[in-house]
Amino acid sequence: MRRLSLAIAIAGAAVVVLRFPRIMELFSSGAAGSIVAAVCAVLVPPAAGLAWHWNRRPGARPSESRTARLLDNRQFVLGTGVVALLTYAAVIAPVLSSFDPNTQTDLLGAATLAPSLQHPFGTDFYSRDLFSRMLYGARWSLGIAFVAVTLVVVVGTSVGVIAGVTGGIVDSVLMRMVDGGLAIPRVLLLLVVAALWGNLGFFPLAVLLGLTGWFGVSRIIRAEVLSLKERTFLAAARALGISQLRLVVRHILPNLVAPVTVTAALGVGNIVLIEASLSYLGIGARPPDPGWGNIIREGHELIFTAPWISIFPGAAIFLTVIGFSLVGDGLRTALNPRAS
Amino acid sequence: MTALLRVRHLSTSFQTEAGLVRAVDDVSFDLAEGETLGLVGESGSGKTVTALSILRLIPQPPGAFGPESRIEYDGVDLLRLPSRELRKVRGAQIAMIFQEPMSSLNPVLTVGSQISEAIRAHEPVSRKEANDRAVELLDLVGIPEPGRRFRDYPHQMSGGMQQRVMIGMALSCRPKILIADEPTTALDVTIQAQILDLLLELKERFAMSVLFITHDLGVLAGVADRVAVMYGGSIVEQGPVRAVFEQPAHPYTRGLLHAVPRVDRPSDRIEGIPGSVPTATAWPSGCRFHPRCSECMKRCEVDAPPSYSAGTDHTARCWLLDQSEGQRQ
Amino acid sequence: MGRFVLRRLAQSAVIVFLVATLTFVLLRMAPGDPVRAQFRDVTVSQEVIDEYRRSWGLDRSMPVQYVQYLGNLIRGDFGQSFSLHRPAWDVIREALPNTVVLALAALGISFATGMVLGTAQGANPNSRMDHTLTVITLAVFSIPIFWLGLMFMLVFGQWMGWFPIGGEVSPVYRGLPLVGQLADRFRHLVLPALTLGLGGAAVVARFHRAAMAEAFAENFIRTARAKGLSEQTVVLKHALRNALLPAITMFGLSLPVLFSGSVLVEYVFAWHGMGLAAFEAVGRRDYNVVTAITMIGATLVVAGNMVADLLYRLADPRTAES
Repeated sequence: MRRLSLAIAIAGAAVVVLRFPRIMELFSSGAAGSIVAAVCAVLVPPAAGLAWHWNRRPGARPSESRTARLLDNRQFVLGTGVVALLTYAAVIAPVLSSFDPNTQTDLLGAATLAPSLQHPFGTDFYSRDLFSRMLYGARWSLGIAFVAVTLVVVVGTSVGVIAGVTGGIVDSVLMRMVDGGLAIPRVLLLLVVAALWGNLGFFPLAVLLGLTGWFGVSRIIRAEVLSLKERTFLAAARALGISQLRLVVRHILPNLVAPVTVTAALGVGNIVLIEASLSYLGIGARPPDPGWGNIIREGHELIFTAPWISIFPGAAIFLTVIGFSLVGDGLRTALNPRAS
Repeated sequence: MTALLRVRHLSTSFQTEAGLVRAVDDVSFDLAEGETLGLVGESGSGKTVTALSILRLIPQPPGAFGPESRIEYDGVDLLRLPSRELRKVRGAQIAMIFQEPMSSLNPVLTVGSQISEAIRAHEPVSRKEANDRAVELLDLVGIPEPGRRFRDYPHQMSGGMQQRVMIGMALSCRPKILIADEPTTALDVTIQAQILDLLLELKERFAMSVLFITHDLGVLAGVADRVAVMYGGSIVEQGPVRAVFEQPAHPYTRGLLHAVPRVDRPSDRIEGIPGSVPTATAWPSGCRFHPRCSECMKRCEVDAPPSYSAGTDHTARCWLLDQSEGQRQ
Repeated sequence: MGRFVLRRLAQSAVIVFLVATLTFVLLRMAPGDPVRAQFRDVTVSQEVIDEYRRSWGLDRSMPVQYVQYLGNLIRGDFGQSFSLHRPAWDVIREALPNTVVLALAALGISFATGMVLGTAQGANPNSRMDHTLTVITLAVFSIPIFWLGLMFMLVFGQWMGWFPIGGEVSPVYRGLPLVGQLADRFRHLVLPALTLGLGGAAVVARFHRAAMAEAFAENFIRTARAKGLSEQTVVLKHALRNALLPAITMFGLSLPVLFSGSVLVEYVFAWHGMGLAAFEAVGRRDYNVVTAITMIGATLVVAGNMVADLLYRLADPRTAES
C-alpha cells in the first residue's frame, strides 16, 4: 500500500509538471468544473506523498489487525491502485487532455486518425479526440456505477435485514419477490425500460440500474443475518431482553460491514459492465456525450478500418472491472480469515 | 514378540499463517503382532496426527515430516515409499477407522459400493464378487438385513451402524494392523460398548494388531495390552497397561488417572489437572508439562527430560526418575 | 417428489404470468406511440392512425386490453406483430431455434471448459497452475462480452479470416450440399458461441474450484485415501461427485445471465435470435412481439431452474427419497 501511495504521488507530480500550462489555463478559465479539476490535480500528489510518509514510520499500525491484513493483501492493493488511477484520471480529465470531448476538430482532415502523439488514442469518425472522450467517459461510467451501487447496497441490505430479522410471512413475501427478480433476465428488462423511455440521463439510469440490482445482495445479507441470529451472543442479548431495534443496530449491522463492503466492491464492476452494455446497444449514455459503452458502439461500424475506437474503451472497462474484482476478492480474504 | 510396526523419531509439523505447528515431536513406539497399543492423551496432544502420519494421510504441504522420522512396517519405511507402493499398504495392510463415521463416509455413494471399492482397489475381483463380499462384511459387523442395507446411503443409517460400516470397510482386505482413531467418541454410551465389543471380537478373530487412540482411560483399561501416554506432541510414558495404571511414573499420567471417576475409591471430588494443553505453535521450554506439574523443579523449566526406565518395558520422560546423584532436590 | 414438481410448476407459472404482466404494463406506460412508430418515415393521416389503433385494439382502456390479451393468450394467440404484419408467434418461431442453438453451444463451452479447469484447480489448490488459472479466469470474467465479440470479429474474422463475422449462414447456403450446409452453420456459430461461452466458463471454473476445494476438505476424502484408492479415483469419484451438486444449482442460476448475454452477442454478430428480435421490436414499439419474447425468455429460465432443482434432488441421495 505504501508503494502504491508513492506511485500515485509520483504520477500526480509528473502530471502537475508536464501539464502545468494547462492547469494555469484551467485556473484562469473561471469555469467551476475546470477549477475543481485543476485543484484536485494540484492537491493529490502532496496528499499521496503524505500518506506514504505516515505509513513509513515503524509501528504506524498494529501488525495483526484487519487493516494490516488488508494492506498486506496484494490483490487488494493492486485492485485499489487500478481503481484509484482510473478515478483520478476521470476527476482531472480536463487537466490531462486539452481537447473538448465533443468538439469535432476537423471533419475532413482529422476523422478516424490512428493513435499519435497529438491524439494518444486516435480520433473517431467525427474527428473527436478519443483520449479526451475516454477520460470524460470514465466520469460517466464510474459515476453511474458509484451511484447505482450505493442504491444497491442500501436497498439490498435493508430488505435482507428486514427479511432476516422479522422472518415469518414478511420474509417469505420478500424472498419470493427476490426469486422473481432473479428469474428475469436483467439485460432484457433494462432493454425494455431503457429503450422505451429513450436515453435516460445520468440519475434516472443510475437509479434504474440500482433498483434492478439488489436482489442478489438481499439474499446474501439475509443469509448472513440468519446465521448471526444462530450465534450465542445474540441469543444471550435476546435473553437479556434487548429490544429488536437495538439488537439490529448494535449487534447485527456492525457484523454486516464486511459482507456489504465485499458485495459493493464486486457490484461496481458488474454495474460498469451492464451500463456499458446498454450504452453499446445505444440506450444508455446520451450521444454525443461519451460513455465507454457508446464509444464502442460508434467503433462497431468502423471495427475493421479504425479498430482503435473500440479497443481502448473496452480495455478501460476491462481494467475497471478487474480492479474492482481484485478489491472485492482482497477484501473478502482479509475481512474473513476463514475464507483463506 | 516381534514389532510389526516400528515408529521412530516421528516429527510432524504444519506450516500455517500463525507459524510452524509442531504437532508431533520425536515420537517412537512399537506395535507388536497381535497386540493392542492404546494411545491416550487430551485433545491437541498429537494423537490423531500421529495416527494419520503412519499412512501419510497428512496433506503435504502444509504438513511435513522431520528428516529423522521413520515409520517401518514389515521392514519398509512408509515415509519414503513411493505413493504407488504406499497405496498397496493403505487399506490392505494397515486400515483405519475414524472418529466421525457420518462425515467419514461419502454421502452420495451407497455404503455397499464404498466397501466393495475398497476390495477392488486391492484385489483383482469382479464387481459382483466384491459386492458379495461387501454384503458378507456387513453381516460380519452385525448389520441386520445386509443384502438390503448394502444399497443404503450413509444418511439412512444411525451413527452406530455407520461406524459398523466403517469397520467392515476397514476389514475388507484383512489388514494386519487396524488404526482406530477415537472410534466411539462420537457415539452414544450404549452404542460405544457395542462397538468396542465388536472391535475386540474381530481383533481376536482376524489376529490383528490394533493402535487404539482415545482420550478415555476407562475405555483403554479394558482394551489395550500396552499404553502410550501423549502430552504436548510427544509420548511422556509408555508401558504395559497394568504397570502404567498401577504405578504411573509420570506426574501427567497420575493426573489423568486421578481425573477418572472411580467407584472403587471413595473420593468426594475428582481432581483435574490445573491449566490446559499448550498450543503447538509455542510449546513451553524444558519439559512441556512443567507449567501444569505439581512436582515441577528448576531443571524442568530448562531441559527436556530423556526417557527413563520405570520398570520392565516401562519408560517415562520425567526428571523425577533421574537416579544420578544430587539431582533430586 | 410429485408434490414437489407440482408446487414448482405452479410457482413457475406464477412467475411467467407476473413477467408477462410487468412487460404488458411497462410497454403501455412508456412514452411513444406504437402506431406512429411504424410510420417513422412517412406522414399518414390521423384517420389511418385511428384505424390501425382500432384494429390493434389499442383504443380501449388498459384493463380491457389486458383481459383481452390474456384471453387470446389462453387460446395460444400471442397477437399480431405491428411492424412485420404477421403473427408474433411466427417471429418467435423463427428466432427461437437460433437462440437455443447459440445458448446450448455456449452452455456446452462454459460447463465443459469450466468444469475441467475447476476440477484441475480444486485438485491441486495453491499450485502454480491454480494461481495462473485463477488470474486468467478473473481476467476473462472481467471482459465486456460485446467487446470480446468485436475483438473476435476483428482478429479471427478480419485479420485471420478463419470465421465469418456475422449471421447464421452464408449467402450461398442454399446451393450447398447437406454436409456443406452443416459446416457452414458450424462456421457461423463458432465466434458467437465462443463469445457467449467464455465468460460463463470463467464463472463455472471459479465456482467449481471452490466446490472442489470444499469437497476435498471433507473427512470422506481421507477415508477414500486410507482405503488405498488411487488419487484419480479420489478426485473423480469421491470429490467430483460431491462437487457436482453445487454445479447443478449454478446451471440453474446461469440461465438468466446467459439470456442477457445472448442479447448482446446476437446484436454484435447479427445473429437472428430472440435477443436481436426483442431489441428490434422494442425500438419499433412492437408490443406483442416484446411481450411474447419476454414471456418465452422467462419460461425458458424458469423451466431451466426447475430442471436444475429436480436434478439436484435426484442427484443428492439425502433428498431423493423424500
